[in-house]
Parts: sequence; C-alpha cells; structure tokens
Amino acid sequence: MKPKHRLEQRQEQELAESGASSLARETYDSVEDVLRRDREGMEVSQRVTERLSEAIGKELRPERVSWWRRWLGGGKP
Amino acid sequence: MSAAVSDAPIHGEAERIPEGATLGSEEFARVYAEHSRAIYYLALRYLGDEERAEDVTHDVFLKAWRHLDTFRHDSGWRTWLYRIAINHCRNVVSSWSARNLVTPPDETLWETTEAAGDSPLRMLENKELGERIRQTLDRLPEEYRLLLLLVADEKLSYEEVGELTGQTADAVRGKLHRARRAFAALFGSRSG
Repeated sequence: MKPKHRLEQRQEQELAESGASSLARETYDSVEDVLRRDREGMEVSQRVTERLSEAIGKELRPERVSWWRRWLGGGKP
Repeated sequence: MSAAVSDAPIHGEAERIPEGATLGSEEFARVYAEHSRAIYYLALRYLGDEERAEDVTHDVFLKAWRHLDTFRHDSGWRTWLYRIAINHCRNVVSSWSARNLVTPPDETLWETTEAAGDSPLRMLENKELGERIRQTLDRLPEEYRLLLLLVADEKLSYEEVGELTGQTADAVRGKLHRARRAFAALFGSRSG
C-alpha cells in the first residue's frame, strides 16, 4: 500500500478532530435518490435468515431440509 | 383491489406444505436473496423500528412460502411480496396504535416550512443520515411515507405502485409531488 503523505495525514487528523470528516456533503437529485442510498446501506440481519430457515425447515419434509442448510453454509447434519 | 393472501397472522395458521407450489425450494432461496433487502427496508422505514422490521421480514417470507400456490406470476415477486409486507405493516401499526396514543402528523409543518428546494437535496453523508430519514418519514402521513418508499424502488412502475396503494398511476403521480415536497421540507428543517 502506498504510504500516506505527511500532509494528508495531518489534514485527516485535523478533519477528524474538528468533526468535519462527518460533514462530507453529497448532492442528490431527488427524494428517491436519498432513500435509495439509504436502502443500499442496509443489510438484512442474519438472524432473520436463520429464523426463516428454521421455520421453513420445520415445515419441509425431512428429505428436503438439506438445501436450506446448504444455503446457510452448513449446519447440523 | 384484492389481496393475494389473507392477512391472518402467521403464527396462528395451521402449518402446511404448499403442495401446489410451482417453485423449487432453491428458487425460493433466490427470491429471498433478491428481495429481502427491499422488504426489510420498507418495513424498517415504514415502522421506524429495527426489531419490528426484522419480524415483518421474517413473517412476510414465511407467509409467502406458505402461500406459494396463490402466487400469480403476472404480478411479479417484488409486487407480491410488497403487498404482503404492506398488509403486515399496517396490521402492526394498527395493533400498536390501539395500545398507544398516536399523535397524527401536523400537516401545517411542511405546508408552512419553506423547502430548501426539491432538487438538489443536500445532506450529511454519515451515520446520521438514517436517523434523519427515519425522523422525517415518521412525521409524514402514512400515505406519503408508503408512496415515497415504493416509488424509490426502481423495480416498480407507477402502475404497480398504484396497484399496491389502491389508486391509479395518475393519482400516484399527483400525490407524489406533494409527498416529495413534504419530505424535502421536513428533511431540511432541523427541528425534530
């Protein structure tokens, strides 16, 4: 990795100290753009996936359960 | 508009395997992977509560799984899942409202607040953004909030948004203008 120039480091430090690093502004064309950007930063918790997998697994016939476990990346045999 | 599935609570339903389902289970997993974020986001910003949004996301997909045999391929997965999610969110809100005193949004706020302009919107690009959006959406009427969240999904047409909200595409366009204006005014105001 390219080492940071000393001036860059100092500027970053000053920005961090002043809180200005959180003031980076971006311009959006519409309300929808704001919401889309917000949505892009979201991830569905793994808890939801696991709960759903478990709930559906209970309803599946035994021989069909395995794909859900595979989908979750392993699990109990 | 008829709902594709009933609004009955999931946990009270008799457990059953969707015998008439035309999808393989692995395809349902792909549906989840593709649409779960959109459903979670709608629930999160509609309800303003992370834990409830997770519950709704879980319940929506479980309900969809149980009712695969009623899925009409002409409507598309996203639209069908949104329909279930909207019904579910409304049930959650009405259940919550029945137990709590809810103050309706004060419309004079955005009618009298001068918006910084609908476009371009400027904002802080940091973790405060989500909280600011939540506060703004919370202060909008339910109709505007839902409309904006649905229209923000580029996979939905105005016709589909109209179908989901029980109105014509022209009505959606008309209300959208007011909804955007209200959002921009509240988003720009510092008072929370």
